[in-house]
Amino acid sequence: MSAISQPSRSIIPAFLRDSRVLQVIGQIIFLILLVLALSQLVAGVNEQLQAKNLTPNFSFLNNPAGFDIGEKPDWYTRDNTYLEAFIVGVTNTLRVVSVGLVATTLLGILFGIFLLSNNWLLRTISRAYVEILRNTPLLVQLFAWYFIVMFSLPQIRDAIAFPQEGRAFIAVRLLLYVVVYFAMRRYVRPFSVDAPRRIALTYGTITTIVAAELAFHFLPESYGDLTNVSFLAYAAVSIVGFVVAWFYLHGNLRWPILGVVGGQFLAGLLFYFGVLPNSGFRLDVYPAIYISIRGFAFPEILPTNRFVAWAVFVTVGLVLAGIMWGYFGRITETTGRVIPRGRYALLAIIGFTVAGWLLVGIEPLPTQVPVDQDGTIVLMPLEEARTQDLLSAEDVRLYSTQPILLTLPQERRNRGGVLTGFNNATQISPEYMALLLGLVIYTSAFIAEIVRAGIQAVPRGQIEAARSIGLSTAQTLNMIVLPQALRVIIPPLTNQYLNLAKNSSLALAIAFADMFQIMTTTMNQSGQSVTGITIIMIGYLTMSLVISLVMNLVNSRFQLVTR
Amino acid sequence: MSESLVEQGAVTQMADEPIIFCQNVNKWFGEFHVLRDVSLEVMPKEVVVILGPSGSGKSTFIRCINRLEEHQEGQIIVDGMELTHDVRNIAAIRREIGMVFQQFNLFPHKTVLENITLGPMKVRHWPRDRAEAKAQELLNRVGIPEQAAKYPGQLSGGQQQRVAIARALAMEPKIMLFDEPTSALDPEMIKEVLDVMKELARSGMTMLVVTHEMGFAREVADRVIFFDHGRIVEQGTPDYFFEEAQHERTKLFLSQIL
Repeated sequence: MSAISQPSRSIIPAFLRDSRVLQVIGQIIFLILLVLALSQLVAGVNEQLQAKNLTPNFSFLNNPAGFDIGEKPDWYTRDNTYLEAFIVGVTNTLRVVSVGLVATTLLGILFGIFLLSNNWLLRTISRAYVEILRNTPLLVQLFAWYFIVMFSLPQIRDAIAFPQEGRAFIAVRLLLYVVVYFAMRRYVRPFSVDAPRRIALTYGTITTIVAAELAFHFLPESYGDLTNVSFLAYAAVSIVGFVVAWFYLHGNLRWPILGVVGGQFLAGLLFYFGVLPNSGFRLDVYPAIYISIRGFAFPEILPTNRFVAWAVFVTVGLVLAGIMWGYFGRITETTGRVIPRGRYALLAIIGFTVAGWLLVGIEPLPTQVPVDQDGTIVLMPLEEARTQDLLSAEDVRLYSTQPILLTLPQERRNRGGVLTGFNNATQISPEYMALLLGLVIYTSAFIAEIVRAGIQAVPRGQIEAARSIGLSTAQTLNMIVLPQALRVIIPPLTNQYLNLAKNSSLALAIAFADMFQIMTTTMNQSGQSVTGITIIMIGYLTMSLVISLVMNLVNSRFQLVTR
Repeated sequence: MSESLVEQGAVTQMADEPIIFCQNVNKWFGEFHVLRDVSLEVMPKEVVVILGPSGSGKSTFIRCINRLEEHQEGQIIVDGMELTHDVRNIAAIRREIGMVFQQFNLFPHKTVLENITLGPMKVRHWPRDRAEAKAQELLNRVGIPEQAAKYPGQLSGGQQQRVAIARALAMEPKIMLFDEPTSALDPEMIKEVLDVMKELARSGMTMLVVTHEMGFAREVADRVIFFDHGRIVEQGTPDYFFEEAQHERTKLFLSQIL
């Protein structure tokens, strides 16, 4: 082995030519430059602000805000401090982001699956949805939701009420059809097999129902009327159709068509002979949702004083269900005996919920209650107090046998009888709705693509292997496809969650009072822009870090072990 | 039956009914006619090796037998059950047929043991103890008892394929299908997989094997079938097939690979 050649002499000492030392020196120089630049910047800004008497500080947060907020809890007035105004803003941001994350996930998954559908129409519509939404700016979409969709809603005096007040009619026929459906499912097993007569029967039953319903809808006056000429025409067409199908149709279409023609004829007979029951049940219906340019009014959900007792029952039911789920799961694993544990768990939850509801209501209400009538406390019958609207909010919670009161929005009208608003309603502003819809729908387009890609990333061979050992479609999806797809889906999904959270600051554009909008107003009024921007950045940073943390924890559960 | 079909040589006769019965099976991929009037009977305990050039439809054919592919015409009856659109029949037939794939297709997010016990526990509803005992027994049989707790990504290709064989056997199938089980393996690892398959054949398993391993075909097969352009061109015992093949296409194929 020859001697190792020495590097040529140099005036630079050896340790300064060591690549490891050079790396450290480089980093130190960069750090010094960075600190110098930053300190220059900070000093400059400070000097400017001091000249304007606006030294950054936090004490201004305790000054009264003096502005009103469009979307606020009851306690907030313009006399509250900047800090309290900011808290209102944070709450509003969280209201949008938390609901938005859940909704966009569900919508994204749905469209992601549609993108992979075998149904051409569904697939194409989903593709168009995704391409239109992800290729136009979110700001434009928010404007569209707010200035086009929300502004086109009617004025409050003509608010759309749903369902329309009035009478609903449930025909006995419809119940009959439900019975027929379950009977077919049980005894005929439609669509699961190739036997031609079963196919004919399935198609025939469906056609009978559809044709009879159409007849009821369009020709109610000729029900049970055999003399009607249209019956003869109808029967003739049906019979000709049947004959043609019987003699001239072969192949795949034969039995379905025979079923359809037969069913149509049968429906005609039933209708014109007046055999189908024409009676039904009547229900009184009151509107639960009102939609107008002032927003959405939903029923108010009010926990009463008996709510806690009921909640205990529900909790016991949930715990019991959890225990049964785990216990029966272990039994299945150790003995192989199949126990429908999902059904038992569901039964426990429903059972305890219902039983709790009934038991909580057993304790009777007092017949006489003290109420405040023009300053004096008087005893009067509960019903009378209720009808005279003398019960305070406290009393309503106290004098209820139900654990939860669901009160429909009550119309508030002025003297002229014009609708001006609602009492006892949960109200949602059009700004909130526009922002929520904009964020959810925009982000769902990206999530749909991520979900589609994630599912497609699972090799076909995995599904084939799962099917070849006999797993069902549902088992294959749950145990093989989803765990592997989620591994691919979660990292980009986290990005989309962060996007939605941060994009919520676009609320400014449509005047929704989120934390950014309120801080902008605060900065304009107080001039404390450095502090304001810092607080806002810390606010969004905290939110993003929490989302990242949660998603990273989820992600770590799905990582693969390789060598 | 097609004229080009030459059937000669003494096929080992067995007393029972055929366990796989295919008659005039036809299949198209769009316009492409992959399977043309394929008819075949396989007796219990018979080992059938299917040879043929790429794209001749041999893989598609064995995939039709457990309905990973649908045939469009003809009849396939496995263990007395006809393959139709009826999902119950398909599920029942898949329980009786194990399959080993070229790319192993082990579940990467489950351990070796979980890969093997999944089917018995979820489909056959065995208790965990029984499924795990069976899995361990099968891992012993395929020669890798110490790998149970590892994930597929931590194993070599040959080991993965042996786990895949164990996974298929765990369902206690009556028939095993092998779709080019050694084609994705390093040459050194082919032998360990073939040894497992030979042992399985000697134990009396009904096997359909698509492969390019001529040595395996000669040594183990009861019958060799040659596919070309979606047709069974020629079939017979290994001795007949490798020495006295009649058909031009078969001779050409054999001259190129032997």
